[in-house]
Amino acid sequence: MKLQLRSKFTGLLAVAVATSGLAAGLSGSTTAGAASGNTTMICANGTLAPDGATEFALEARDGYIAVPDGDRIYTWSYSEVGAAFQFPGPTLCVDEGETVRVTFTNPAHLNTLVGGIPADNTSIIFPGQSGVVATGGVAGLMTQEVEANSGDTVTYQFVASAPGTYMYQSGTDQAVQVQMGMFGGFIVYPTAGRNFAYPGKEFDPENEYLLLFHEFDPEFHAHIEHDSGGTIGATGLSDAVVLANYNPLERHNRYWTINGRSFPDTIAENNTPVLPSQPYGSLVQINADDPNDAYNQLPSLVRYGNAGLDNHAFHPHGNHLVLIAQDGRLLPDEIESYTKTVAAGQTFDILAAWHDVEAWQGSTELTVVNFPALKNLTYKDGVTWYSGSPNLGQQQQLPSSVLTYSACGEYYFPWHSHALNEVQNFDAGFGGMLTLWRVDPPKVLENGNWVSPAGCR
Amino acid sequence: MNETNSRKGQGAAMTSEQRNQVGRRTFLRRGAVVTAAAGAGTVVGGTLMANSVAGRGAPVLGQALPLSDAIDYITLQSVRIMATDGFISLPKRRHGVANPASANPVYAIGFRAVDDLRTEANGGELDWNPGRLIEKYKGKVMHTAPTIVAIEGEEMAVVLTNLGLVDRADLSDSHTLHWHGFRNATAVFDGVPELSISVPSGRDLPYFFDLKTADEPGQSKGSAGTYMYHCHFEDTEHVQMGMTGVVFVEPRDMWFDALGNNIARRKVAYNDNPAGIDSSFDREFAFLMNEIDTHPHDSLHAIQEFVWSDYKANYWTINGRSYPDTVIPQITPQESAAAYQETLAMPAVPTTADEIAEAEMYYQQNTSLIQCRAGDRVLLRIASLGYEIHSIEVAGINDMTVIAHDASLLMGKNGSSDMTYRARRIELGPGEARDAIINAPAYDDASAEDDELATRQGLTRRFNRYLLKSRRHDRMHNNGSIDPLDGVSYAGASDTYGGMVTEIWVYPADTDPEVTGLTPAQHLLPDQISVNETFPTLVVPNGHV
Repeated sequence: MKLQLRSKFTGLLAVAVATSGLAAGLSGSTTAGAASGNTTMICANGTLAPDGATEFALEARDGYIAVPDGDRIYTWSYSEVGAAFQFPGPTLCVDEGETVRVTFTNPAHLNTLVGGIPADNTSIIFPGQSGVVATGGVAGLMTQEVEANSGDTVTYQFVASAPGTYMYQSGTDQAVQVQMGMFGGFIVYPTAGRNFAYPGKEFDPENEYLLLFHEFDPEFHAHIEHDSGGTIGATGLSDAVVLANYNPLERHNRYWTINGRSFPDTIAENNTPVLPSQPYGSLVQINADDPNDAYNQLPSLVRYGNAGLDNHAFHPHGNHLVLIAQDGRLLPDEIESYTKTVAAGQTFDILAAWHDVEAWQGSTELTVVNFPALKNLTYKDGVTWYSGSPNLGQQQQLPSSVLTYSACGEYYFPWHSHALNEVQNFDAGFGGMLTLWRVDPPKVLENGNWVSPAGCR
Repeated sequence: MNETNSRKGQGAAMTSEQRNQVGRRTFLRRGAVVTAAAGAGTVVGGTLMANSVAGRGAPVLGQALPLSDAIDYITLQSVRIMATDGFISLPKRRHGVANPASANPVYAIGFRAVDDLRTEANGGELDWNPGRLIEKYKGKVMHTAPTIVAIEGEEMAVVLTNLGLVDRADLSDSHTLHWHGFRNATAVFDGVPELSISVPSGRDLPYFFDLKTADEPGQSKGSAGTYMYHCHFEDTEHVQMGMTGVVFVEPRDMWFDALGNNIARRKVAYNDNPAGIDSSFDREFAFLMNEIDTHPHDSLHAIQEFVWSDYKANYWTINGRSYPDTVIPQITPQESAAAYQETLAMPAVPTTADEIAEAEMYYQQNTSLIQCRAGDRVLLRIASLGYEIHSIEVAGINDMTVIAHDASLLMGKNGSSDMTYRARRIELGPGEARDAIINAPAYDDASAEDDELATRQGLTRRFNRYLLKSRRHDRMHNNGSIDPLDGVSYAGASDTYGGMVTEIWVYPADTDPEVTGLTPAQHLLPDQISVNETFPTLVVPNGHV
């Protein structure tokens, strides 16, 4: 049994903080704030080098991340030089055809915590990229590595030749270092532009999301954090020391994350101050397609990447997904599905649309079934994302004891691992590898621009 | 008012003549029949769905509607599903039908269907008396849940009634019904308690589903295909406790021609398509893969906490049963038995080994025995609501084509790419579904064996036996071992396997499809209608070729 009993819902706090200015008051209930912050993919775009290459400067870092039951986990990750520790590493975005140069260091002086990165060799590999040239450092099994305590810089250079969704990760002692968190997203946009995932695959650039999956056995991280064996520093934290105290065969995951966060933290906005080391949200958002085709909403793009060790079956409610690409390569044709198992290390690109085919927005009345009085139903824990109305964009009064997060009558659907033992935060349900899909009413024409209805996102 | 809106307001039933005069889509829009309404917030068993159609004593719901009779045609298909608790039987965890002193069944929570309660006293109307529902069904779980069958292009209501729990009467758990994979959901009918509403004990809620066709606005495809449904309230617990079932949608082309006229049932899984993918079948079967970790079941019953990140399955099931139970035929409770009518109590204690086995399956009615004739195209609707990834193989039959993933025919964006594939196994993640067609191999009498079910009826019938099973051999056991003395060695099923295994019995191609005489254990199976029954023209219930 877990003993930590600190703030159980760090993420909800974050949401409330992030959106307190947007809450729409509802008589008879209190609105704390809907999930509505910006959760779109944040790109690190690098800098333009004199020779025309796009350059990123990364360094290895360690730090702590928060999980929703109040515990914290010691992790390693990549950060941009000069920036704060973040988990996972920054999402590197480039355009097809660009020369990409990543310089990588392991500055021991930045790592003030107890852990081991300064004492380990480390590196970066770019699965899915061709012709990566690594220079500097020392030769490792998979690529050139920054030697422990050396102050070396290793440079990785390649041409981003194929658009798609990829990840980068440590190529050194991967069983330890990738599990500790040394991974990040790597995005190559096609020459058609950053509103395309691949040639011919257009999406709404306002609705581009990256969902990186990972899972934690906190015991493993605790061993890395504490089982120094007195060898931190001069001789480093060797595998032998770690494995002597932790049997990988007994890996027992307790937390499952999307972009390093577990639900409900997943729906908190990007860069929420509540989660200073976990900047990336994963609330998927969209405006519904108008049933009368007045406004043709482009689909949202959702990029899956599984940085963990287990395969995860991801399931959205609300609509089927359109799979367009796997591992950064277009599929022969689109495949629809309502669940997709993402293997360890695999990426998928997915178009997500939501059609208001029932015309639930507006004045459509729900007469087709006889609906009970709201007071005779259950609102779990007295808190709901439900607006009180079946209709999109409408709100109705809920029983007076019920708190609603609805801002404007938007819909919320779960988007989660269907291995339901993974939607847990150790022992608390409706957590873990779960995020939400927020669907707002169709956009309306206002002063020549298509905008969300008043009060909506 | 556009078509979409008009659908919700109009209730005029049409004659078949009128229906034939309107276009297909318009027909869909105008054909809705609004339910007879009771007061808002009806209590259990109110007249909420007075024109509901429930299976006649069988857990097949929504199917076999009188589609050929256009005058009585009810467009709003509706069924009632009840949530309650009870016990299920797994190898080494038996009800103790044969030996009551050894009873140690597994506590479960699940959905159960309402049997046809038309009574003379009620003027032949369905009897939704709430006290009667509670008296008859509370504590009588069913796992897996009834298979629900719907028809594309129709509207459907599933009424969820929460009967409450008998053995954990202290729990006030609400329930929901989540149609897993339903497209264009509205949050209120999506069944996620945190994101909408849930149904407290003693109340009910109708869930409304409009099963769109491909030619309606905003649709990339129709609704036909294989889905699942489950409770989403405290989902990790309630799904593991057994609140899981299959729902599948028959394509428009099965029942209507292009003009919307009723036709004789065409056995196709999906509509005709530009890619030319053949989804026709002779027999269809629905399978729900699950695992069971008995520890949380025992903990819940003993009022103890369970840490769900400790989940570790020890049973692997198909349709809620672990081999050899999987081959026990569909269980249809005997309506005429007085005891059953009143309380759903088990009938008189059976005597033969097979009768005991069937009685043990009294709350796990869905079989997964596949019986077919050589040359048959056999449609397998395979879905998973377990938490593990499964590799399912058809051992010995090397002619399988996967035609659909997740209720989506593999036909590409424009319906013109044939992306179906031949395979020897199906990899199935949690919450995924596959439709596959196997061609039953030729019958070989030299390797055939006697059908003990037939022998019991004084008939001689032989078949070739194949296995549909997990390739994960570590899931082919029952909590770590096989116990041949478990009392459930059934109809020649092997006692050297357990777990996620079922059998395919292939009979000669010339087996008379009209034979219906095989009704094992008469006292339990007098009216053999299977969940997998798909032979309205052949009149051959599944499992009894």
